[in-house]
Amino acid sequence: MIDVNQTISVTELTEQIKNLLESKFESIWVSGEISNFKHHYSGHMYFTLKDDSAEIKVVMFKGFNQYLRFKPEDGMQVLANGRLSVYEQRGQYQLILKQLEPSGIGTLYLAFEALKKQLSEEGLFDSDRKKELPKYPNTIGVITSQSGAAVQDIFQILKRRAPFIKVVLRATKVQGEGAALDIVQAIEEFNEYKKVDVIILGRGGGSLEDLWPFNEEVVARAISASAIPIISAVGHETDYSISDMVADKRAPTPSTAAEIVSPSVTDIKENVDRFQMKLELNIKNLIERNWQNIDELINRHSRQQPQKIIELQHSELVKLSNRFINSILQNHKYWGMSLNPLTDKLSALSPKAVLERGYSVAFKLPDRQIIRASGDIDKGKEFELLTARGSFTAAKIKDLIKSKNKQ
Amino acid sequence: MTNKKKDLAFEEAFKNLEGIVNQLESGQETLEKSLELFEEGIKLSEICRTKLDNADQKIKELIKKIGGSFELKDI
Repeated sequence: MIDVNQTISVTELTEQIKNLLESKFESIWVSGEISNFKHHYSGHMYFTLKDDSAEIKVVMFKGFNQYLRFKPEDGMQVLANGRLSVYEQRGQYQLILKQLEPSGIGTLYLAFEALKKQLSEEGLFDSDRKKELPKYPNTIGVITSQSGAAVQDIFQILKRRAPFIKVVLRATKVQGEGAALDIVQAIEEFNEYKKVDVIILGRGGGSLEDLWPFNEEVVARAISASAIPIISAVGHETDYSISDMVADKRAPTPSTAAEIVSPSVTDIKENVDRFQMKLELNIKNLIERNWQNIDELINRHSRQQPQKIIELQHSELVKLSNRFINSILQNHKYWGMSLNPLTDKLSALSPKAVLERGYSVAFKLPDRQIIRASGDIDKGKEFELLTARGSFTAAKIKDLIKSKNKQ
Repeated sequence: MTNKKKDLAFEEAFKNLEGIVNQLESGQETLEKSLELFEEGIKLSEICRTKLDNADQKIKELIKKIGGSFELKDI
């Protein structure tokens, strides 16, 4: 017979079950497949975890599921961590989750893929959005950790290749809590500061977790919004971050980024030399051509035409040639070997040779402007007269013939 | 040369120099203008060289101060 004294109430039994189960399963990892997934409007998630022969109800409250880096879906294989909870009124038990990770592929990887897809659809990686890096930056901004190896690599390369470039570091955290926001702030500060021409953003290699800030949406958006071009160099050659994809240029390592943004000083010097050679050649040819012209003019017309017309063009050339020679002499230390042949050539067509023919050039004082018309100088004013051998000052007494223009 | 030109950023000086060379090579300018360009070009090439030669890399740290202004701190 049944001993009534030995029976217990449903409540008592349930309480014992509750105590037993809840103390036994305070924190447990369970693997299974998601089904009947519901994201309630309250923010809580309700679903069932199942395998081939069993299932268990699961709830993940808003306070925990807001940190999920992926979107749970039916059929997804997951690892769930939580505690068992018994719901007395219904005689049911369920898992209350604190953590949920997709099994197989990591959470980070999924989050990376999801963000990549989203930003790509928004067009943030499009090549027509990418700004061109300046060829010869004056100042380079660097965003990285002050204590990392990357900063030393970058400084070393810039010092060797382009010591004339100024470098401004905005030190940031590059991993862990708060790193992404710090990086965002650094990008914004450089844009506010304005005085850098290009920004290197990067860090050395690390685990996917270490590199994570460079895969965060806020960082991607800050890079995309930057008015200053950004070159991203996150991790080693094989690591591709979202930052790399949004940036205007991607470099495999921080050192390479420094190389890309800095023109080599040797290359630049060669360019400057080349430009100067071109200047020299062009002007030399031009002056030679003009001297030939004037010599021809003198030869052809010296008997029929008033000297004055020729003189005007002629004195102009004297002045220009002198300026040319002066320019060269003042900068002779850079002309090196090319100086001698050049001056030799110039003296062969020297204005002096022309002065020897009896011409003089009159210069206004004190600015030594060539006097081209009698109206160029007022009566009574002194001027300088340059002859083949020596110059002297003279003064204008009166106008004799008015210049052609005024007749 | 004016002080303003001496203060030219390297990139600017270099670009101007390149522009002058192109202008001169076009052969469109008068002799007077060409010589002006030449003189300007020589000065610019000297500015470029000075900037390249006297380079002692300056590395600073950007610090945003309370109130929003910026300070460059030696590292």
